[in-house]
Amino acid sequence: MPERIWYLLSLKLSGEATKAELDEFYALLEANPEWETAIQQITRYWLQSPMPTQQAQSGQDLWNKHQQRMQAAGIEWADPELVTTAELEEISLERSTPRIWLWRSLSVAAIFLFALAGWWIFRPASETKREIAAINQNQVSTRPASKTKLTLPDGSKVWLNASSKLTYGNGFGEKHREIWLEGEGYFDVAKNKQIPFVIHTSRMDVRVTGTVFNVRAYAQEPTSETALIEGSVEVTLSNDKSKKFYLKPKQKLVVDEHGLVNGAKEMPSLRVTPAAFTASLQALAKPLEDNQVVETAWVYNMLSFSDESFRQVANKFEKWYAVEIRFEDPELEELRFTGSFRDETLSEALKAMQLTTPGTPFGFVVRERQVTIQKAR
Amino acid sequence: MHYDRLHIQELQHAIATSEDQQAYAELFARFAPQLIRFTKAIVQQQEVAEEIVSDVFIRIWEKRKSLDHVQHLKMYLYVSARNFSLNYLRSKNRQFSLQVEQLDLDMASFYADPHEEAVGSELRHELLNAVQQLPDRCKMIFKLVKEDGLKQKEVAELLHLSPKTVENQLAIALKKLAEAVQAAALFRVKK
Repeated sequence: MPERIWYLLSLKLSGEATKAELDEFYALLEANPEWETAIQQITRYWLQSPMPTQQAQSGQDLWNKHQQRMQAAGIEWADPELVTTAELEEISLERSTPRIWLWRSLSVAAIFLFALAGWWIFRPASETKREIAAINQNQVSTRPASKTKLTLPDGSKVWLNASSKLTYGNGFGEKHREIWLEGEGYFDVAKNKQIPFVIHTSRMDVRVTGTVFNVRAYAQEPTSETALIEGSVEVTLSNDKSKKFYLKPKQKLVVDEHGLVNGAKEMPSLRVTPAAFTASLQALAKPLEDNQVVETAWVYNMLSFSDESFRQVANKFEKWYAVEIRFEDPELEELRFTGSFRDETLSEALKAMQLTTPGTPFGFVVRERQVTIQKAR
Repeated sequence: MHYDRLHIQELQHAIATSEDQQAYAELFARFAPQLIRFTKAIVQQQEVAEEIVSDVFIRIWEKRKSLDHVQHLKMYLYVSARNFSLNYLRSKNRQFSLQVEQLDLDMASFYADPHEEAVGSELRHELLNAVQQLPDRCKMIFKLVKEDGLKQKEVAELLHLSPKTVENQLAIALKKLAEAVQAAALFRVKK
């Protein structure tokens, strides 16, 4: 193993690698595949934020002490009650912490999750909303294969999945609670009956006053979803404001740009076809364990899918492993899979999928960050 | 970590031009915990570290009108914390003229990884062990890049090391970690 790979890895991890250095890194990695597991473990560890130690105090506590010191230094402070905001920490990539935290929050708030895509590109936003977005906007975004947990100024918490973007204007939490999402997020919304929390996406708006939910909405994916686990939520379609949907627990709303909905026959209750979008309500994919559902598994660092096409699974892999996946034969995209992965490498995951498919109809080639799925020979 | 650089600059600008107290509070919330952690590694006392970081932020407020001239606020905060820490240590012990590269570091307390119960995988457990076993200075470089999000050159500047030293130390750290995981993975296969 050439020593240079460790230098290149350090540049990659600290975000300082040039394109040429990344290419060199992947070439070295390809020549030494036995290091893939180790390098992937290190990368996951790297993306995880440090945990506060036991002695570490809360931000508020530190801030209070700091204010006392400021006063002692003779500094006039207009608002001693000022609360610090924008604490940001990356999601723990291990399952334990978010799980404990989540189940605690379950008792005080409802949980729901939903997905939406591409508002920034497609949404014919009203002028005022566009203004909010354009002026003084705060933006948090995640890279491929990384996740972020953040606390919004109103105290609401968001887990932002890979390749996602969250935008909100100044005054959030005081004058409004409107937020724009592209990608996938899991929200725990702080209760506030006066100011509703609204999530805007290309295909739908979701309005709540206090609950917890997850959103999947990648611009390049053909459907957007809102799935509710507990509590209630109101969804409005972007292209037809008169259409409102009230989700019940364990339901999700799927909105499709072309009126084509996969697996429409499985949908128990509702299907409408407004001008451009089709929306349908369906039951959430069945629980994995401990009331977890497939839609929220990513929060626990699990990559899960339930009776999904290979193309859909590949979309998830692309974000999870930061790769690009191409199918040589479109037939293969229609293979269906159910499963979940956690610590597996991409190769391990694809091998497991090969093994569980009768007749092993596909093979794969991983070349740098390009994966090609081929018909088995 | 992924907080937009842009956003930090916005806070800086709001503090400088409109004495925005909310922006100042956000800046504090964003950086105080990690600055205290860094400072504590140098001065080795929690209370002292908190006071030093408070002083750094008081200085920021006092100089708010010229804050827009600061090129890279994050680095400015770290360098200030380092200088204040060295001043503190010198004031405690006048016969030494301490330099940052000669310091004893208390890495165990504040740069500790979470104690994991049986939740992490075997490989992860090995990885965390290997991180713990890195030599102090190597670990500090590693953690300043990983957890504080500093660039390699910034760490070199902050710790008065050559950029080459930082590069080498980081590469050594990653190699050690990879070897530990690799060994555990092989062991697992054999079992």
